[in-house]
Amino acid sequence: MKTAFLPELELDMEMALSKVLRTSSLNLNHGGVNEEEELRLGFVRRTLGLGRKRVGISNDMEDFSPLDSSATKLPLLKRQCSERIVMMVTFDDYHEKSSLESLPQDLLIRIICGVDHEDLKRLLIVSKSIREATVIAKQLHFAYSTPTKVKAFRTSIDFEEPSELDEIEAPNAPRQWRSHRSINRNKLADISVALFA
Amino acid sequence: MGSTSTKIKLRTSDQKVFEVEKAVAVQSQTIKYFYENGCPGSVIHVHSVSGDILSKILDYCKKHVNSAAGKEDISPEELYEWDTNFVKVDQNTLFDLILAANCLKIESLLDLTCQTVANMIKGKRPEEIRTTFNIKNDYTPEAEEAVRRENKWAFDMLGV
Repeated sequence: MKTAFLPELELDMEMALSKVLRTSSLNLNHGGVNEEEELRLGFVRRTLGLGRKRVGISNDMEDFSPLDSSATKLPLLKRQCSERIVMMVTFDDYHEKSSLESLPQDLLIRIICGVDHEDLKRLLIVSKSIREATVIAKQLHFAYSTPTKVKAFRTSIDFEEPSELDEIEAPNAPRQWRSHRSINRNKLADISVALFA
Repeated sequence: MGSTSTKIKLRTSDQKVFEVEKAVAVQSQTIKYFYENGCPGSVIHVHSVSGDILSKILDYCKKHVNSAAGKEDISPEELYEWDTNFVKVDQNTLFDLILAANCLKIESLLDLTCQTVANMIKGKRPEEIRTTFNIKNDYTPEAEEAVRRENKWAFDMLGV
């Protein structure tokens, strides 16, 4: 009875395994495997994200795992791995999660600060976590930066020719040499004399 | 004790040991801190970075140190070109680089990699962004509609 749904569980765990390893920049397939250490690293990595579920360490496997003594037929190492990985992931993490969304939120915000003003609205409806980061990025960064120049009215033709959107200098515009040097205390003194003489 | 000949040993998460010139390694503020506050000659553990990623990062640091020190004759344009090619990697590697640059505190690399991802987002529609980064739309249809309505003018204009 239980054996019937073991393979499926294994698959889930394999997925979780590969996912966790990827997001924490680790690689179990590498030579000298130090599981204890990697496990610890995994924990550190997973707790970075704000507003995300924290990883609960539980030794009580019965909570969410149908694995019991009948599973001893599995190769030992594999089973150990699976158990440890189960400790690292919550139910929430069983879903395949995007590598972008699994970044710590401060990094996500940093990335979003690199897009243009007009991209913000589109980012808002991508997903909830992206929206959260976008709203913060908007308050932190975009409220203080000047939008890039775009034409007030854009047509589909403009989109086909992206070069049109680039900043265009006025032809033969005289170069401006305004600078602080032109403000001179002596000159200001002259003006004040002329005005109030 | 010449700073150029000093080597710093780094050990990665997969137990690979790198021996790196000090000038290159201290591009990472984290490594610099550990070097200055730790025992001289001891191995610095870079727990959260794998060997593959670290070797890429060290390439980056080496390039930038050498060009700044004038050891390598490279124009700013060529360096920019080199950077552009450096971040032409698959998405997983790119995100690993971001995490590593963040952890090692290499600001210029973090800027470069984050901007690369930002450029991948720019100009894309929500659906395209989801496909690009394999993001699951976790809005309910009603919630999505509400967000769209809030920004209706913007979407109408863009034909989204």
